[in-house]
Amino acid sequence: MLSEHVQWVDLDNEQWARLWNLLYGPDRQPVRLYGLLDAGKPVALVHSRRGQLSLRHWPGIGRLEDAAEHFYRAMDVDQVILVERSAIKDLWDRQQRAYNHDDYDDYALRLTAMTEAMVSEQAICVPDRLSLPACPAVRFGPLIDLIRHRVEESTSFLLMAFRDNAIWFSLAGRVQDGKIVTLTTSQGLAEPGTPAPEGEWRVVYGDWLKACASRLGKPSIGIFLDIEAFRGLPFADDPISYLMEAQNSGQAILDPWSVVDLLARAAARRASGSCREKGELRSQKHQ
Amino acid sequence: MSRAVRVDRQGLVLEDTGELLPLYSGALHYWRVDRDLWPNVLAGVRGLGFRCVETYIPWSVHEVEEGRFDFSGNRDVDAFLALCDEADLYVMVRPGPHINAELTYFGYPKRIVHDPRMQARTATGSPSILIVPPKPFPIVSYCSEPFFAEAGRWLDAVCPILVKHQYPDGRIVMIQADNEHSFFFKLTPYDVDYSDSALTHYRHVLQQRYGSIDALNQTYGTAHTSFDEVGPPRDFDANGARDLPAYLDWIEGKERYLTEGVARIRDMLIARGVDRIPVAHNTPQVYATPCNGPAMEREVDVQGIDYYAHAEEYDALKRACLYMAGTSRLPFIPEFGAGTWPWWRPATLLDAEANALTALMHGVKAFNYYMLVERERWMGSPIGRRGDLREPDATLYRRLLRFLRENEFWRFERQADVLLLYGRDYERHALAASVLSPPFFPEASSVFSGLTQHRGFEVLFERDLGFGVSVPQALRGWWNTAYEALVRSNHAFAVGDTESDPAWLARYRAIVCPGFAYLSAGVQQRLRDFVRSGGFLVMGPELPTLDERMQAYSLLRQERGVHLIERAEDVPAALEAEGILPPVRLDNPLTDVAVHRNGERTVVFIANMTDESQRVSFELDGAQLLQGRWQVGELEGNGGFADHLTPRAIHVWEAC
Repeated sequence: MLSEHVQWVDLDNEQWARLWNLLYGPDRQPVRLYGLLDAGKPVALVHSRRGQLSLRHWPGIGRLEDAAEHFYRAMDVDQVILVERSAIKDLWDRQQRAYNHDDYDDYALRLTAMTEAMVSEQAICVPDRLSLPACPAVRFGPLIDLIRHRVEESTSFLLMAFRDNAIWFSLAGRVQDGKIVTLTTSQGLAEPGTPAPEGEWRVVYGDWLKACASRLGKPSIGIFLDIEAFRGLPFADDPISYLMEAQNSGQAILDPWSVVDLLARAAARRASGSCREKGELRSQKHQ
Repeated sequence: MSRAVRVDRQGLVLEDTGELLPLYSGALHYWRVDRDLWPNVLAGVRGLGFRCVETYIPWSVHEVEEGRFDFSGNRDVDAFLALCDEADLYVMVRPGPHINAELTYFGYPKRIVHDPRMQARTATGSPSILIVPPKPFPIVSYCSEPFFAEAGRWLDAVCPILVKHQYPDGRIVMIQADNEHSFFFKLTPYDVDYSDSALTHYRHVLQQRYGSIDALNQTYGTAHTSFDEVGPPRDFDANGARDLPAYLDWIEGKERYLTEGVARIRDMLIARGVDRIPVAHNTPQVYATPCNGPAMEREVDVQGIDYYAHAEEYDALKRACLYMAGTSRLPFIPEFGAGTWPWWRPATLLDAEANALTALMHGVKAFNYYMLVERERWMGSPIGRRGDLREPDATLYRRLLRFLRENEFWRFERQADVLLLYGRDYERHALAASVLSPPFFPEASSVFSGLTQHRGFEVLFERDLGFGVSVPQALRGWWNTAYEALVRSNHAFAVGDTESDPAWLARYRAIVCPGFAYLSAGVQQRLRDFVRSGGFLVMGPELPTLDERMQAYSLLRQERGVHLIERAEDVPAALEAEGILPPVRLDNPLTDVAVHRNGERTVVFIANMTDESQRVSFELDGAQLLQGRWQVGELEGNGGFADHLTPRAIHVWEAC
């Protein structure tokens, strides 16, 4: 999705810090216990916060599934994963071999899918359900799909979140040749020497769209959210439905209104697995 | 050609005038700033109080097509260097060939990273991929002859400009050879580099070490007929002490891969006339093997450690600073975070202040703020990309430079009576005993990120190999306990390296060194010499009886004056029994102290290491009054003082 020459410029440090804390804050990372095995025998026990633990902690329980259950009950972790280290080594090897000059997000998504498939097939997990992966390319996958498929050539997109009418986070980008060529925040949209739009966000969002148009080209998509709605977005099971509900409850404005329809279609396309086949943005013109 | 600039413990010395230039620098990237704005930006740098700027010079930006280089417009580095001269700014340049600089392909032309002849290889033979935004790419092998030939073409193009501006003819006072040479952050033992050329290098290292294949066979218990038959380890399969030397050799070979790669770039620079100024190098926030600071500093004039930290990472930054203070001729942070790249956790102004004071407190004498001037793919710098000063950030940096200048802080030396050694033999063993060699996938293996992102950053086999203990685990236990005991007892210490030369070790009254069943003969000899010259040596939990080839060698067991301390928590008591006392004692274990001296002047740093306010009392012999040098205020006392620190605050007091 990103051009290899993408200009990542005029980023607001405080806004970026808020996003980082939202995605990666200390309470966001699940606490895991890993048991690494060699031919079924434990060789290492690792706690994702405390580090490596002595194998003396390993219970004298025969079945690995029972050992995993024991750890889950005894170690106060979100998840226990027991896995052959050869499976991890093989995964990492396959992941490096899977490189074929992909975009960052495409490659990251493929690696994440490979990891999750390996865990599903080869690891013993308690509980079985995997926590949400940390990779932003996964978390914002539906939105990335939307940008891929609906941001037209030489136009832009704008995402803004507000708290008490102040900008909490913003991200704007320009698309050219099927890739994002510029990424910026509100700092890069405001004209130097001109006051930034202020006031009730449900009113001034139009001014931000105009600012985006003058700097990056006409926006194909604008998404504006109340902070509470934005906070839940990366962790929603179905971000598309989540956004549509937020709009219905007045916590989000999607511009143009047809974005709702686009979102629904993007969700359908995603469900059918037709997205991300080419590893590049596909504007309407290219479809 | 004779040197025009040399490295000193306090900074750079300009030989023609004898002037000492404290090395406080800031980074700006000329090609990322509109040329018309260069004067504004340089004025901003000068306005904050800096006398030195640093810039990368990117191969990929200047090579507009293969073999054709453009030095015009925003790429006119010659004009930029001339402007630096006009702005009265000295310059450190970093022409790579590797520069990172958050550039796609890290500053290499795309054709270089995609050329199979120049790619590093994994243990299974595939290219090794670095996953960084905006584009993952295969990393380069620094044993590839075609790569060095291409790098030579780049240096042929750029060096004439650098020679023209080399001090005293111009303002370039230091050059960096390559950048963060560390297998592109792939520091694990069995990931890279297994390319044919890298394996040739490895076998060359073995040949130098053993001389003959028979000597190697005797140590390894093998029956090779030539070095070409020796295969590299691809996993840790050692089951006994006799298996260990092959793994230690592999890790040492990786260290030499790094030092010799940089030395080769250094030689290429010197051969092209950049021969009058010091050569520097940097590691990316690590000092552990396969990085080897003392060995690197035999190849370059100064080896620094880059650091990007947040206030709560006080102890990690402190450890790196103590290592620089205890191993380098100029403790230097070549990249000290002023802001961050967008795919990393942003740092705040509070972080910047805490980091600056932490670094100075623990012995750093020189730094280069990266980035002082913002540009694309960066945020949080005190100077905007149009030369505008950002407040309150600019005020902090201006205040820092004023503090350093007014106190001539570069003349102070952090007191360190004790050197706690990083036991490189055992660290090599620990690295070799890794259960996994994860390939730097920062996000994509998120389910497994907890395996390597915990406090210890490593997962090690628990195998005793017949030593009675698993050395890697026992090492971590003993060393960390000794470190924490020295901190808690307020001893004045630095962190050293068993790789350091004897003259360096002799600067300290006492050495604390981990000891297990084996230790390199050379290290045993250096430690014995230290004791025989009057030094106090503490080792534990045992004294070695073998050398690195697992042959009987017990030099230190036979040496009177070597003090065996089995329990690392007893190290401070052993030092105090020898009359080596902490210069200041704090009554609050959640605070930390360091004493710096410059002749008759004494400065004391007091740090609050927590997120809560702390009160602390301490005594400082002879002092009646302490005056704040960073913060405003005074402490009165008759040798005893009480300080109150807000969360994460560091106070700087001078005894009056």
